[in-house]
Amino acid sequence: MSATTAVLRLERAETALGAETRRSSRSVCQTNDRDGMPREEFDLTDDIALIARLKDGETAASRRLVDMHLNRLVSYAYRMLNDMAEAEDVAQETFVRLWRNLDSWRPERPLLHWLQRVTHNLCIDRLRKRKPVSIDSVPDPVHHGFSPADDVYREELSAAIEAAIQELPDRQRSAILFCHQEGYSNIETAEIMEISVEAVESLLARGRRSLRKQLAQLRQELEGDL
Amino acid sequence: MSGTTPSKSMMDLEAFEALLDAHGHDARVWPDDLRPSAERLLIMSPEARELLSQDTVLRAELDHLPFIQASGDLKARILTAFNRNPEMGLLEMLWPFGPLWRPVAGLVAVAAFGIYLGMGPLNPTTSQPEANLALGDEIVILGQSDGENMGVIAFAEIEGTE
Repeated sequence: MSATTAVLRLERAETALGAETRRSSRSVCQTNDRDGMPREEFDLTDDIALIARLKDGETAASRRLVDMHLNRLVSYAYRMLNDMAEAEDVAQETFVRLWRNLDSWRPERPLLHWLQRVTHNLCIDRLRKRKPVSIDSVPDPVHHGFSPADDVYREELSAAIEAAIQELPDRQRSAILFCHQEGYSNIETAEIMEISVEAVESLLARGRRSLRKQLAQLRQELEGDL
Repeated sequence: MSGTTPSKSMMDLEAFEALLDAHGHDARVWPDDLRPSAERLLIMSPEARELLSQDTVLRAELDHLPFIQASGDLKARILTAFNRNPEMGLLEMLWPFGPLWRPVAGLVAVAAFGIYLGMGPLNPTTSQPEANLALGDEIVILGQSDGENMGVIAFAEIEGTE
């Protein structure tokens, strides 16, 4: 599937499913102070109940879990791999691993974090095998010609930021996606990526700076067109 | 933070950008010791205001990255894998790509076609009269090479069977 086709399938965050899943993630992970200690505490009651139902073979439970998390896993994998078919393979593999490892899951961290960690690791594995990536594989921002209309400007901006995210180094891209797309704190992001909080902060800072420069460049281009 | 100046003086642009990288555009979350000098810079410097504006736009966009809709087919595959898991754990590990009957049916079809080709009317050694003659010629040659009258006998036997 081409990047353009995939972009056509994007749903705004305000859609019911997206908004719901994002909210549910935040309610599960109760974040303390941004920089603070002690470690975060999680309400895992729902996860424990869900896993118990999955162990009993309840298909309704599996459907609920897939409905809750599939799109976010696919979104993360797509933005990491820039390939919809590969992203879907990764998401499928993640769930299949969960089905196989239901008995070994321990209620220490949210199930979603486990799923996202597996997805992240599978993406990194694929990216390592894929290297070096040709610069041709990085999509250009979609230019439809500038119009002063706000919606066109926003469309242009969103496309440019999507493309700029693709150009970030892998770990910076991961950190940016976990922190912004998923709304996780630095501590949660560090936990999922299995790196230190300081490393996450560094990755975020470099990633944001790079994206901001891309954004500034785009603004100059747009103003030049006016 | 490195590159910052004392709170009474004005921050430089590089330090301001580092502040934005680390803490974002919301002045309320900036460290207390840096906020006054950063705010002074914002008043004085259009470049700093531009940086702040860029960071605001960027974070708003990033915070609203849309989720991508997975295909219905993917969801079906995942749920199928769950349904098959309890009773077909080993098979699922060997063939995690969907129902097992598909590759099995493919193999059976290929095998059947091979057998058909080997035994059917397309095989010249079993279906065409010339094939029997060719076989007979070979036997005659072999018989002739063995000794006297053997080839004639063998040829006569073949002719007698037709």
